[in-house]
Amino acid sequence: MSTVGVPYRESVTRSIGQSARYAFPPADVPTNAAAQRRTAWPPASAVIGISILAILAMVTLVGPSLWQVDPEAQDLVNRLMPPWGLGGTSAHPLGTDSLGRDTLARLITGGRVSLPLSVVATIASGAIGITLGIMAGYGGGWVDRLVTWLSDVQLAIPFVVFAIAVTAVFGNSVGNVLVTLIVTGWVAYARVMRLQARSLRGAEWVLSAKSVGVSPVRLLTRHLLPNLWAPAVVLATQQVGAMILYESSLSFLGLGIGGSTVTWGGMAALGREAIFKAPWVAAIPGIAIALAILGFNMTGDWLATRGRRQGWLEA
Amino acid sequence: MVGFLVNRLLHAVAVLFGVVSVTFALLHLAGDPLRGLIPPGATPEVESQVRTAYGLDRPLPEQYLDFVGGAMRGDFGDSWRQGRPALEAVLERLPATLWLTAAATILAVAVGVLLGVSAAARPGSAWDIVARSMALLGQAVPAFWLGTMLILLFAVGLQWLPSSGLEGPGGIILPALSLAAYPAATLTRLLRGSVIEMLGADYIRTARAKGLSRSRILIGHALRNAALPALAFTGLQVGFLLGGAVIVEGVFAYPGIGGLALDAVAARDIPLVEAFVWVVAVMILVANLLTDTLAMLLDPRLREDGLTLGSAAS
Repeated sequence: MSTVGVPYRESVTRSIGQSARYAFPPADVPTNAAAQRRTAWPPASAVIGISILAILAMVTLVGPSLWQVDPEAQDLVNRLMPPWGLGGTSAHPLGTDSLGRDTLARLITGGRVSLPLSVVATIASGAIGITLGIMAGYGGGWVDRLVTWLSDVQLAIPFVVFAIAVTAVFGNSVGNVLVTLIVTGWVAYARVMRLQARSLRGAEWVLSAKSVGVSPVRLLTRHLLPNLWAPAVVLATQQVGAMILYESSLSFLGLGIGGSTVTWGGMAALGREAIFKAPWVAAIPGIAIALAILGFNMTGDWLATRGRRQGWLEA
Repeated sequence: MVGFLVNRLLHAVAVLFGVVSVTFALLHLAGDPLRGLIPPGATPEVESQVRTAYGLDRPLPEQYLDFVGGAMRGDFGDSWRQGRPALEAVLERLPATLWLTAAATILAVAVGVLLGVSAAARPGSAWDIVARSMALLGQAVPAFWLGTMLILLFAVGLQWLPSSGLEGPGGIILPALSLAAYPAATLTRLLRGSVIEMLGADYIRTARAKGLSRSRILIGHALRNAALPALAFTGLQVGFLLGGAVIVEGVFAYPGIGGLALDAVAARDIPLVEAFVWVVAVMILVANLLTDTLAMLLDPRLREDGLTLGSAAS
């Protein structure tokens, strides 16, 4: 009966149910019975994702008071110490770098730079992208064409390429990294919001609100935005991961904040110089970056799947 | 069909004009291209001589028109460092980058299709969970870090492949692997989702009722219909891949345009940076045109409606 893994009856009821209720069928439908019973609880991946985010938030907020080691203190006798359990000591649980600085302390310090920066860049680029996307999707006409042109121009300049141009003229600074992330980040929001807003434009309740004389401002603030914020939050959650990836890549290439600021990407770049003698120095910051991105992506995916299932997020 | 292509071509030229304008605004309006080139203790006379020599003393509108006129044709003047046309210097390094990008694209599509379709065939199975976990990891691991770890494993540990440069055919394998991980992961997720969706469609039920084999339905029907969004996605990924190539080239000291551009940043070689931005943009626009054309050849509906892939995929 189950020729391609999906029980026949289930797949038919699914497709009928979906076409009646959703604009787009969910892309990530759990198709086995066990997964469907679980829907009341977040799936395991979401629990892991949210847990990672909780740990990151805690480390970012109170990390330095929990681990009171100076991230800049050099200890040249104990250079390139391996992590605890791999031949190191509990004085430096994650080992030390090529100048004998404590990796755990630097990881905490770097996280306090990279994570807030990524969140700020996500919010700022989201504000720009959402505004432009709603204008394009709801307004249509020349505004739509202008925003489409702008986003195509932006897509033709990848973030590293933009960062190269910015760094060539302005050098390294927090501001330049932030500008690069915001300028390259808004397109993702604009594209999604344009589609969301366009699908609302023809909705019956919007038309009826218009026909009873609701002003454009009230229509936007009281009717459209409440229906658009949930998709925006989902997208933003998924975008933070991308911002962390971008920021760390720029820092690694020397196109980042620069100076003596500790960043995860910069730590990995420094560790690369000692890759033959002490591979863990480059490996540990990379694991931190990957975990942070996983946390945001897993949480974002769970929210997106919920959104599609409940019908407030277009596929 | 011809009208559509002309339309897309005009759009591409308009986008290139936008890219050139952004480059000018960034490098000439917002910043001072000569920052760091004029020695600190130079007299105003020397400084104005340098500005005149580089044509930077003229009114901005004149500089802009001159810049756009040259840039639309790919003329950015001579590289300040190399003393020869900047475009020539970039084009010389372009083939290596294109090879890397092509290798990564092929790898990403092969892995993405394999993982995505096989996971969709049995949703919820152990293999599905493995494929989804691999996709999640692929999207989370930074290319520069993956590259470093691959060097550690294959070049230092096992000593199978070279750790840097492009000596022999083996030199491209590790960079291509590092570059392909992210797009392969994204494609896996995209294809898994759309193939599962396709498997719930009426025509699949019909195919099943006809008694077609499982693999025939999966590949001949579901994958074929899921291929279009995947193609649109791959076209869009070219920009990401070219950007990612810069990172990976930095890790592996690979002799492509990325390494050249990173050197140009250190040397403040503005014409070279401009030519680099332009070449990347042209490559992305050409790739988008090719994707649109290919999609029209594959899907008759696009030909009739004159839709672009972007609107079809959305």
